[in-house]
Amino acid sequence: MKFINNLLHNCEDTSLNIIKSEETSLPVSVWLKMKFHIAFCKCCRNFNKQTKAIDKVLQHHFHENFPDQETKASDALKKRIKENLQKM
Amino acid sequence: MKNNDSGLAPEQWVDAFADFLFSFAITRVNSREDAEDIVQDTFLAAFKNAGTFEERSSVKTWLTSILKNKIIDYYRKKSQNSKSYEDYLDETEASFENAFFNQNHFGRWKNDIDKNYLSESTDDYILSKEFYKIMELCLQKLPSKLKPVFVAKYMLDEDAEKICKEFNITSSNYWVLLFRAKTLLRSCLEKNEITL
Repeated sequence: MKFINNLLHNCEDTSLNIIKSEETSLPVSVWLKMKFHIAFCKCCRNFNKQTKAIDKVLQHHFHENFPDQETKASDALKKRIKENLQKM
Repeated sequence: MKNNDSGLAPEQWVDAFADFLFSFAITRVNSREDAEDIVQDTFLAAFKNAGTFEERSSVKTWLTSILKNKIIDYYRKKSQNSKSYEDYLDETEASFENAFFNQNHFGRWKNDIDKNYLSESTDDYILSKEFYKIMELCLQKLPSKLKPVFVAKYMLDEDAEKICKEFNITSSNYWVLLFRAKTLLRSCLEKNEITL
């Protein structure tokens, strides 16, 4: 009974395995447990979708710069860098 | 083929690229002072190695790759100064679990993740400015111990093995770090009424 309960209700393990499975392949038994749990658990199913969407956003976030959001470097900084470069 | 910007003399790099590099850095380290130092270090390193620069890539791309490494160095140094990841994860385990999972019930989610998800326009929305503002906010709220690994993974596209080596963590700790960071981020987005 404990095994079944664990299988059905352990969202914590399942969601950790969802994160792992995005980057690496899980052992078959672990993968099966995860899939089985997801089939019965709407929350983990949603977590699975959401973490994939978040992945996509973060990829984008860390790679692109919105041109109109550019924060300019201060003139003081530019001056400081140029001075330091001359000292080299 | 020559790149557009390869004709620039190193003396002109600061005027040509400081704005871009600074803006790149500040969205990733969230501190003006630190971003300024990182940009300065990037130029100093680039000048030292200007001789080795080959014109296969553009100057901008080359400077950006130096900058990225400087950002990782920055995070690595920061995390070395504080507690080990092992200790941090142990100490915060209980409060993390209590916040999100029901320990009396085999670890079920405490609050249902049941909001309707992924509408047809999701793709447009998650790339919108409004969304990014909230995302930035939620990223800033991440505990400082969780952030470096996150930045390394997404910004540098590094694989698990390399990140574990760079930050000197075990792979199981790496998964737990990622898991917690994503769970926190997801919950922060939800609190801001983003159900994606």
